Amino acid sequence: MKKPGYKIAGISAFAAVVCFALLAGCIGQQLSSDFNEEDVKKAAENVITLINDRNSEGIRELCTVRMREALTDDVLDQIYEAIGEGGQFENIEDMSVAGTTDSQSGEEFAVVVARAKYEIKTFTFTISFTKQMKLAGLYYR
Amino acid sequence: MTGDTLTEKRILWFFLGSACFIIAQPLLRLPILNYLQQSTDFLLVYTLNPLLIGIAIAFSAGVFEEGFRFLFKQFLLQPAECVFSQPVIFGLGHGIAEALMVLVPAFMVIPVSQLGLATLERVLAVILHVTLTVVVWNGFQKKQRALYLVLAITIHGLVNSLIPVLSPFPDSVILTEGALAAVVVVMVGYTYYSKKYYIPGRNSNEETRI
Repeated sequence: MKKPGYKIAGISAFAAVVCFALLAGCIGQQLSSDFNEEDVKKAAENVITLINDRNSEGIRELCTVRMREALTDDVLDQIYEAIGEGGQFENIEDMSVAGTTDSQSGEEFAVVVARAKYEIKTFTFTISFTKQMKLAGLYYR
Repeated sequence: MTGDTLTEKRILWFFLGSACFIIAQPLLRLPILNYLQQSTDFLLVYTLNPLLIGIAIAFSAGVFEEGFRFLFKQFLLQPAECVFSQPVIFGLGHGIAEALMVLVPAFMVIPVSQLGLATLERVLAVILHVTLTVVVWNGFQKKQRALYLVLAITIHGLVNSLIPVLSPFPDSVILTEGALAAVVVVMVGYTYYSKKYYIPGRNSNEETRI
């Protein structure tokens, strides 16, 4: 007969696995059928390329009205400076896409998280798009 | 058992407590969390569900730390029945190891005078670790091991969840530390109440059954 300690250790290990399975992303939201995943990925790659090229006008052309107001020259210069500290852009290592709905407006968005490798360090971009594929959110770290 | 042997046992309990923390956190949980943070799938889910994932991360600390406390008691600190000082010293070892890991790097870059709240928070955390160890050990004294393990994980997870739950509020640091202090007061009361479950050990000679 098994000792109770082994049984409880097994329960603890199972709880730990369940905890990390949840963390690992089993609870992600599906992308709405109004979006095409490949198009969303290409649009995110394009945004990262425009940042690397320091193309402020190109970025603003993609933006929603609200984002265009937020992305002033000063803000974009800060972004370019921070990303510039990473050195030369090398490649996008990994990219994940999901959907989300704004709880207040009910508007659906596609959200992309992309890990971009640069010569010195790796940045993680979080980029969101409206159904019209307008850039609605841009974060990096 | 001589007084010297008893002292050696107490030192051993302290270092086992420290080892328990080091295995549960720096050697296991933190590398797993670091690995997850390299995954865009995980970061995406975290971005979309910050509160839910924050609470899950908080509970994972409870699962690892209380789980390893349990395993240490089960396999390295037999017999199950023991003196009250055993969980207290083990919990001190666990909590002080964590405090050193958190505070030493901070002391290197920030003057000690500016770390008042952080130091207070660590003192409360050490006391909480002692009381949570008593909860796990109570299960062994009362022969309800799984129940008390789950209870300890739940308390640990709920306390850690204060951070993601309260962080959106203004003055969240004060709120979080205040709530932590309130929990610690209740847990210290429970710990004092729990003394009756242990083998009496008023002096060295009476602790020979360790």
